[in-house]
Amino acid sequence: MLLKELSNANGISGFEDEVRDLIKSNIPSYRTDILGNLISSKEGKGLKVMLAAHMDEVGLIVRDIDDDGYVLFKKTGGIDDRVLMAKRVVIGKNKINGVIGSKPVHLLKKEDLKKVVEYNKLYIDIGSENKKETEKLVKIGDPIYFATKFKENGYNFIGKALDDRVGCSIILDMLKKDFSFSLYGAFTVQEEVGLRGARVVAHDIDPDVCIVLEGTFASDTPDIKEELQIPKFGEGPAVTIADRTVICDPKLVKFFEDTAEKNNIPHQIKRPFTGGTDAGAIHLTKRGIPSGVIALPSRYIHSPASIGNKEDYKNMKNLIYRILERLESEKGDFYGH
Amino acid sequence: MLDKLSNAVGISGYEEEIAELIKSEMEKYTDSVEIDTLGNVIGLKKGNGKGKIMLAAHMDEIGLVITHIGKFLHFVSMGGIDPRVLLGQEVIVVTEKGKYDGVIGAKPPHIQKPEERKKAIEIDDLVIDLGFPEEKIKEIVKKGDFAVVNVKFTELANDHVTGKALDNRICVYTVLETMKLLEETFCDIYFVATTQEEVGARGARVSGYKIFPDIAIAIDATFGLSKDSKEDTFKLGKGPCIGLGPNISPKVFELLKKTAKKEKIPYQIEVLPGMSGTDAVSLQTVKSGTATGVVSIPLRYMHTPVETADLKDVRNCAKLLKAFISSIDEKILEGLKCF
Amino acid sequence: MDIEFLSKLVKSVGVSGYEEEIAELIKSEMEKYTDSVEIDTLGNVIGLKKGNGKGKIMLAAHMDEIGFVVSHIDKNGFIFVSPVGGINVKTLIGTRVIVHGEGKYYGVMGSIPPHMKKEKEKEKELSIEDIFVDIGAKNKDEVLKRGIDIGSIITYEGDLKKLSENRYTGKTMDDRIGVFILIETLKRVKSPYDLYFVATTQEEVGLRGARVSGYKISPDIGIAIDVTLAMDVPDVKEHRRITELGKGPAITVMDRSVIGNRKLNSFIEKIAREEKIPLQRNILTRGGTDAGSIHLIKEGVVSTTLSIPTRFVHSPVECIDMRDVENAVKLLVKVLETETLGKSF
Repeated sequence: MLLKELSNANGISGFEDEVRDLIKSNIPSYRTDILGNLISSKEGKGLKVMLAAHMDEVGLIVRDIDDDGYVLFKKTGGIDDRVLMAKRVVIGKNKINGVIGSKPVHLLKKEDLKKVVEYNKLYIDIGSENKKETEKLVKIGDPIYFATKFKENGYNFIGKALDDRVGCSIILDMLKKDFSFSLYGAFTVQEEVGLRGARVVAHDIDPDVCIVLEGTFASDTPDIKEELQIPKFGEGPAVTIADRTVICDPKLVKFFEDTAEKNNIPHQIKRPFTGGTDAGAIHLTKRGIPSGVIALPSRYIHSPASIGNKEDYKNMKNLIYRILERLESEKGDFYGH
Repeated sequence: MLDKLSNAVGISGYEEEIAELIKSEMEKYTDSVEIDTLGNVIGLKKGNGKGKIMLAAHMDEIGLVITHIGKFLHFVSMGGIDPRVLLGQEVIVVTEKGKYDGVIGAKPPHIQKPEERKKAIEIDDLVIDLGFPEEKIKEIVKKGDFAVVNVKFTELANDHVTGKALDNRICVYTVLETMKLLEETFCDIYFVATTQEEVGARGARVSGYKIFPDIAIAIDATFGLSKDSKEDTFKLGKGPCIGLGPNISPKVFELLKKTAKKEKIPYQIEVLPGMSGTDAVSLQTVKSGTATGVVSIPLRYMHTPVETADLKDVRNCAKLLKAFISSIDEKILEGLKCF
Repeated sequence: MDIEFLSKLVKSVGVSGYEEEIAELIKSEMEKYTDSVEIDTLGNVIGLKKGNGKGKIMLAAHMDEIGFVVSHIDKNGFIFVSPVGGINVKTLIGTRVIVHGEGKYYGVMGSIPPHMKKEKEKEKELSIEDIFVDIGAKNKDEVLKRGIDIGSIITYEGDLKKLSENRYTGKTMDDRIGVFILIETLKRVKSPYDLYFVATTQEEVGLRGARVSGYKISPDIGIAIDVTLAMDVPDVKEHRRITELGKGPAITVMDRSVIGNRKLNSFIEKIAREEKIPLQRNILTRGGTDAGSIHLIKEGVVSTTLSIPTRFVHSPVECIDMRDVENAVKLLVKVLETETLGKSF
């Protein structure tokens, strides 16, 4: 499945090349813009519909190489420092293997176990003898990725960057279908560092309506209070009412929900006013673009290993398709129409 | 010129004096200079009109805004200031009636309690003393007037200099020096002394929209290595820093690096994993986007009255910018959107 | 001044992103005095009063209020919420609210009483997740039956009340008082400029409505009308008062979102002096207004904010002095009618 290749492909904010190249090889025509956004479009009549998903994942970047040859790094995008300890990573285009080192428990004092080690105190060991040897393989500014390999079974899949390779994957599927309106698939850059790519793509294309396809966090894990456990893993794609960057037009949200109900697609609401997506940048562009967000609830996003549910993925794909189908035959009554 | 630039006053939103100075200097090296709605100074040096390059260096400095007038002046900061550096500092208060010398007073140690000296100062504890009687103060100072530290530009040893507002007047100076070096250019070059960078790169947003360049380079100050700041800082005198990261076009980065290597100009690489904290943040997302670059001069003790830099870095930076601009051709401009 | 209408504005519902009810009210009122009224993509209400084409001036007052959205209903019928806009959690316990479902339902905000908390819990700062709304329902079904579900909005209860001769209190003086000033100005002004009276949306969550309506209009000048803090209350030192009630509206020197255009500010202050209208200066280190979005539109727009000093901002009992409001209207009308307005910039 293409999702496997997308998840395994590497691309942090500003360095999305591998993901971009992979997507390019799966679409008949495309263009890129000055920020590196990838746009594939199919001309039609009437409405201009844009689907957006971001190509970048959260990761690390080489800040310096110390005198002993260890690699020091910074974070790109939001990562909890605590998930970094003792993880396998891969550096740069040449995929140099490395490990984020961690002190053996035998050598730790009791108080150490209570402390959080911040990212700027961590380091990567690539096995080299000294600084010179490391410098032959690793450069300052090289991107660093979690070395997670995609795996799946009948129920779910485990991989890195489900946020937002699932979105990219579904857009590729939609571009294979034919609709009477003009459909733009926008694979954006730099979402994780401030919704940057989406802003310029929206200015350029200026669609009538936009649906952002995302990977969001599933909240049904033991460390979260029962009242806050939405959306849940396995209960369908999550529709955004509002997050921290956008309050979706209620009429557009209703359009999505009605479509799901009419087609018996399980769906849920994303926890209001949490997180942010490209819709935040898109909806405020020019005179305003009605924008909605539909996301796959995955557990443990922004960490080395997230889990997504196969049924949820299928249902999300189906929901997007039904919404587009509906846009073909009836105009939504969201503002601007 | 650098001394005049450093000594001139102009905090975010109040840039008139420094803008005038820059405008008259720019007029010597450009075809036209104008000032836009937000006060940006925009100088244009026409080329063959085949593309547009914008060099942006912000002219606003951090400072203080007067909030209350009494026997003493209370204030808040404009831009990020460590209040502890203000204690015992001389200031200049700028009003419609003129400039006045003042002091942010410090209690003499003789009458302090020992615990007091251990407590760090907060901005609310501080006031400006003009030494005038209250009625006179009320006549000359109004709420909303501003103040800057009273520090005169000075040379230090080894080509180093110190003064207030070197962030970012040293970069404005660098851009002016670049202008002097330029001959005929392929592109139209826009030199912009931007306003209100310290409060969110605002001047850059509107001047960037107006110009909509193909390439926009922000020239700003970055953290210089010093005794107490050894991590994530850059040595003075080892050349300008070329920024690398999502806020910078990889093509512009490669070209800057290539140019530096070719011209044997010393340079350093600054990894900026998120947004750069410079005018490039605004410039990159203007309209349908621009190809941005960030070139920085290392500066010690940033945002304090004793900012210190190395003139060698200024000269090398100007050389780099000039060579970069000269290397831009049709092929490069077309290639900016190829990913 | 039409205090009746102000009362309707204050009572009207419009949490950020859900402004339909108040938008309707404002639209029908505006239609009486403008050449045209339209509603844009983000729900902004834009009323145009044409002049002689001397230039475009945009006046913006936001119609959205801070409030809450239902995030969860527990099995016993207690409603948990997400805040919309800047809510101070400490002011919530014991607050009366209205939950909007099929109809409007009264509720009260509560949390575990302090004496019942475990020692460890007492140390933790109160967070919005500890707050719940009780509408008197016995279980989740009763709540759902009233048309209340995830995403339903909740507003403060707080109708307009007169405290004394000039002092009024109510929820959402921020910024219904601004909308009120907008309409009162609209009624009185006869200007050579094309005037765009905009009741904006989503200011409280990031000055969003002003950004898109501003783009659409592309004005030459923008003036936001909002509230600012009046800290003339006990225990606040003189130099921290920011503004005071009854000393006139305030013109913005700076806030977190904008540095008021100084030439425009001088111009407005000159007119205030000539007309003997009291005017204060406003400096805020926190908070922003629609001018923050407007001044950065396209190639830049000359902008500033005119504010009404308000006590207890972002609580259900915001307090203003009506003389400041009357003075704000007088000043705006005079400014908009002055032909040299455009020339100074």
